[in-house]
Amino acid sequence: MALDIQSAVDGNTARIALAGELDGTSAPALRQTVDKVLSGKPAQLVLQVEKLTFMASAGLRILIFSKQKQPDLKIYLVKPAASIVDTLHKTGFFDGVYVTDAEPAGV
Amino acid sequence: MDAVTFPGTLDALSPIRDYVKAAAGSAGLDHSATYNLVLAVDEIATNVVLHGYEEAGLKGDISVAATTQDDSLIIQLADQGKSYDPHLHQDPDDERLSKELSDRPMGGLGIMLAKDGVDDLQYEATEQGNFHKFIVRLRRANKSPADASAEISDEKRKLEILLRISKSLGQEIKLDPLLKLIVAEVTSAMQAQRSTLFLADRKKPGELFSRIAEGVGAQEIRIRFGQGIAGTTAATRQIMNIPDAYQDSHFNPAFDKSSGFRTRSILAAPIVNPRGDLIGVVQVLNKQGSASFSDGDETFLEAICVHLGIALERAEMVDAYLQSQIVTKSLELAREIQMGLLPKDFPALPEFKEIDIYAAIIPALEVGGDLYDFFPLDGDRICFIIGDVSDKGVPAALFMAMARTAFKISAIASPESIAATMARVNQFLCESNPEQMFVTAFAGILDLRTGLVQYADAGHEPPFILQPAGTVVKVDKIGGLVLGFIPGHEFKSGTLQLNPGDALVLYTDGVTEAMNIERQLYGAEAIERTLGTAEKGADSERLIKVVLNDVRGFGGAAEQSDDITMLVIRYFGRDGAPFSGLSIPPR
Repeated sequence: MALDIQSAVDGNTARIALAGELDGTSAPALRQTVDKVLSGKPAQLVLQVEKLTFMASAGLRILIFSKQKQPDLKIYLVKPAASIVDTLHKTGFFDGVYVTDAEPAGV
Repeated sequence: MDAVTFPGTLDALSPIRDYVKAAAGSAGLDHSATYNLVLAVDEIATNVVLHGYEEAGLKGDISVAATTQDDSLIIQLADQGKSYDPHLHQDPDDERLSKELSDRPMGGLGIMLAKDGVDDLQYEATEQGNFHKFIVRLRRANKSPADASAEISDEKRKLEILLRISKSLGQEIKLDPLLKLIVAEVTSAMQAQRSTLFLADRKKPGELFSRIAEGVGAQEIRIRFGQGIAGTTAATRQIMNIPDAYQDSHFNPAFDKSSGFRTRSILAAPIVNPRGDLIGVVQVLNKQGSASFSDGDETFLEAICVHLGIALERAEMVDAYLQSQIVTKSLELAREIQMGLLPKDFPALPEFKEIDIYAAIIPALEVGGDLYDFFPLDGDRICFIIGDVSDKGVPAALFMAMARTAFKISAIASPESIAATMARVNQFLCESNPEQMFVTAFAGILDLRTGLVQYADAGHEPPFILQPAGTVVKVDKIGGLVLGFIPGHEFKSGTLQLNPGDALVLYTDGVTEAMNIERQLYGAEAIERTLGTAEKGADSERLIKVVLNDVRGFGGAAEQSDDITMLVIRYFGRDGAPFSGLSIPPR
């Protein structure tokens, strides 16, 4: 199953909705999208991941990539699956992102 | 399942995952174990494709096969690319894992997730190719001998830890070191990142406080019952297992915010003593190596809490005992100061045949600051004082010592006037009295040649004179302020006449204010009455005993609240001859 990527920038908020599986195959496309939405230096990156069923370490590397590109960026993960939260915990990424059930208000 | 082979490109990843998912499904793995296995295989397959083939400029296939064997599901990945042993890879350590995301290196996470996702990851590089074996043990209702032995060894580990905790807690009987020890032991036993021990505040019911949290500096945290996770545990006395703190309505993220710590999973258990009283709550944070605490962890923490309850109970008792020892020691010190200073060798001043002098003090449990003293000024004059410091305990005893020394030095320096002596003592005490204590005192100089007593009063109870016929006369108060109160106060001096056979009876308010169980006071009239009942010619010691016996009989079972002190000077006249000269009868 491939990864469906939808992105939008609204003021200071960049939104990317992901559906499907994020692996080594689909990661480059997502990375390009992130690169594009971050070019406007948004304050926050909101990743809608409710429909993301799989995330390999390639996904984690995109989180690192985003933070390296823009260290003050706030990254929100909205409604991640329990297994993805588990991966975030195991790798210490949980502390670096905001995991929420609802999309944060715009800044 | 039959092996399936794909070209070694990233396009193989998705079908490999589907294959593994199907194999896990038919082996009966649950959702989480399946996901972790799929993730593990995917990570290695990604590395094979990217590093084994593409980066090395090689082309080849990747094949996957599933077998079950000895109640394990084994997924084997085979490739012919450049070999790379995942075990040669160093997992990122905790320090690296806790870095800011922007400071973290990209690599290493995949292999870490691969190793973490299965029970065992084996690797072999042979002439036929490279083989990764992912082994997941299957949990079945009918446990395999291997599973059973793994569970037994886990039970054994827990029992050993419990034994060690109970032993090491048993050796620490002081409260503060015990609290530190508990936090360290619990954190390690529960494989947690941090723990906090909250104690129920005995002085403020319904409040928990914590002085020590592992990994946080010493700072006191205070929470009310019902507040937050620990407070709710205290209120309900139920263990709470919170897999994700930020999803729980009881969780208060304020502490995370101020400390920078990120709480994930929480296990909080009540600590109850053997009588069933709540002693505290132990809170364990962030199970290491998994997302949350298991049912087994709950049972284990409850077992540990039984030991904590016993150890804490004992330490609190020891603590209370030590506190009481400190109080006892300070009381003993106060008593030693008081008693060490007062003359208590009787008969006193045996070289002065004109008098028979005796004094007694019954210190209260909580030592007061009563004092008495007597000493010759020269061959013809005896100086005496009785007094009472306003406070109790060590400070009062020290103040009393100061007053007594100041009095003796002043009296010897200015033997001509008792009023001048009192003024000087007052000045001295006013200047060195940070705790605003004061002394009531009655002091005098008895001229042995005449029986004349020059006296000064500093707010003290007036003495009595017991005459040989049994008549008791109260000495009039001439008025004077207590010592140590107002600097520069001028004291008046009065004069009274002791006739041969007269006894001057001085006492402190411990006598007049002695109480019975109905809280009635003994009173000055009772002294007067009792002195009158003493047999004729009774000596000073006898007179004091008569009064004190009566006081004791009056007080009965009531506790003595203040020092009881008496000083009696009987005057015989010079050379034992009755003096019949100048006579100033007491009014």
